[in-house]
Amino acid sequence: MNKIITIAKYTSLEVRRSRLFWSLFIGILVVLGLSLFAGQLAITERGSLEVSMMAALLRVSSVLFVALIVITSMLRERQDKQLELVLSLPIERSSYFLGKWLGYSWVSFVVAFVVSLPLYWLADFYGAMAWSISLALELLLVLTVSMLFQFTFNQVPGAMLGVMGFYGLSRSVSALQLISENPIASSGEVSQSLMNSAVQSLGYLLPHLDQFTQSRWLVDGVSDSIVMLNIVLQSIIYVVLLSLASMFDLYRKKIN
Amino acid sequence: MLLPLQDQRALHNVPSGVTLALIVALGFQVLFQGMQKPISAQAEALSEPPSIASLALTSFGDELPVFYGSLLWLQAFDHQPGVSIPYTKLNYENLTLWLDRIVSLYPQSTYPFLLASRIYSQVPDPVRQRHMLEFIREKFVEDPNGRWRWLAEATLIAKHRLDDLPLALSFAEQLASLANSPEVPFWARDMQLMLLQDMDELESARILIGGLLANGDIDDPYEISFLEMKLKELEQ
Repeated sequence: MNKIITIAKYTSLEVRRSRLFWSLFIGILVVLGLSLFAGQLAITERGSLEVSMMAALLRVSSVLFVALIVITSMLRERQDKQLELVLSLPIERSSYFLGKWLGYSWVSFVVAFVVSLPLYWLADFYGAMAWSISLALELLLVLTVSMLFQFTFNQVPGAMLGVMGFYGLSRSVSALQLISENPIASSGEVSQSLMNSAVQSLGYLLPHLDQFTQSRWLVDGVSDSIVMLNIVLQSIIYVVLLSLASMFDLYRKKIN
Repeated sequence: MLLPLQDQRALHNVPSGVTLALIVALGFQVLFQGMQKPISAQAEALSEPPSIASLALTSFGDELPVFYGSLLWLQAFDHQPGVSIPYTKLNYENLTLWLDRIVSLYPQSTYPFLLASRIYSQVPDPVRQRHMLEFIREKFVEDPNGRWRWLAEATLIAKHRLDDLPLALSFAEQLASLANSPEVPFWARDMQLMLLQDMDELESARILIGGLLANGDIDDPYEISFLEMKLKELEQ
């Protein structure tokens, strides 16, 4: 356990020292400016408009930020042969993975908290709280999938494209399912039913991130606590699944 | 290029050929742009909106920012870069379709109805006005107790702008029969009386806006100032 915590500490320290957090602060300021500008154009519901625009931009920025941090930091570690150095010590590969995961999770929680601060000020308090908890869980999923893709591709473009593809699909899988269930022109062809089955299978395999971190909560509040429970359960199941897949890949990797 | 000055060598270390080529390349870029046709503003027609499924896909599961983004885009459509399109030139069939799709993204909002009743219904074209009023009526039927205010506004527009008392009375009748929540004020349910008494537009608008403000139905400060501005326009 001590080994895991030590690796986690050094992982979060490395991110802190990389000064990437400054870019996050600049990003938050830009998003604030853009949202307030959009609000100036509104005739009514200016507050809701600003908050919803701000929330969407902050969510996407933090997802990109966390994915970039995880992918670039792990790649640097690989290129500097730090992974080989750590694994030459009496440390299990699973402990190494869990240590890294814990360190990045800490960073993700900090990111989720920092980007939520303007929303606590501008939106409904309980809505903002639900939004920030959900964002933290969403980032947890993103960081775990980033680790998996980094182990698999071992390069920035491949891993980043993989993460963005996964994120985009997970956020739109419910809409895709609805579209494939109710086609505008049903041809009854084999290809159509194959596509339909593929989309329905994706619905079973991917987490439905479209239920996570809704801007609507900041305007209307969270009316249903089951939604939050669903998000927590989905996050636990999927983080465990992705972690095991990453460990599977890590155990198979030849490290000289 | 972005290194601190102390980390950079002096300018004379750059080969003169590179400096010269850089200046020539810059000159070519300026020349190339100078030879292009001057940009002229061209008005773009309002096309049909994307389907609800496409909107849901582009929202990536978060409809509210797409809702407000589409509304702002539609609201600004008459002011395209370098050219202003009068509302009489807008395709109102497509405009209604846009509003309809936008409402489906976030039905609780009043913003699309404010645009329909206070902006798009003010066009000096009876056909387009009727189109917008019909849109308001259709949407009112979906949620009479939540959208009674917009049908009340449509009623006054039908009477004072279109000068169509039967249409106004049919709106008022529908309002009285469908909007039965206790939160709907009595004056809104009794609009038929207001129509039959021969009030002018200013007087009716005063009752409507005054009633809405007194009832606390409008609490958005920007909307209040917008309505006050509209009232002042009528007074002039």
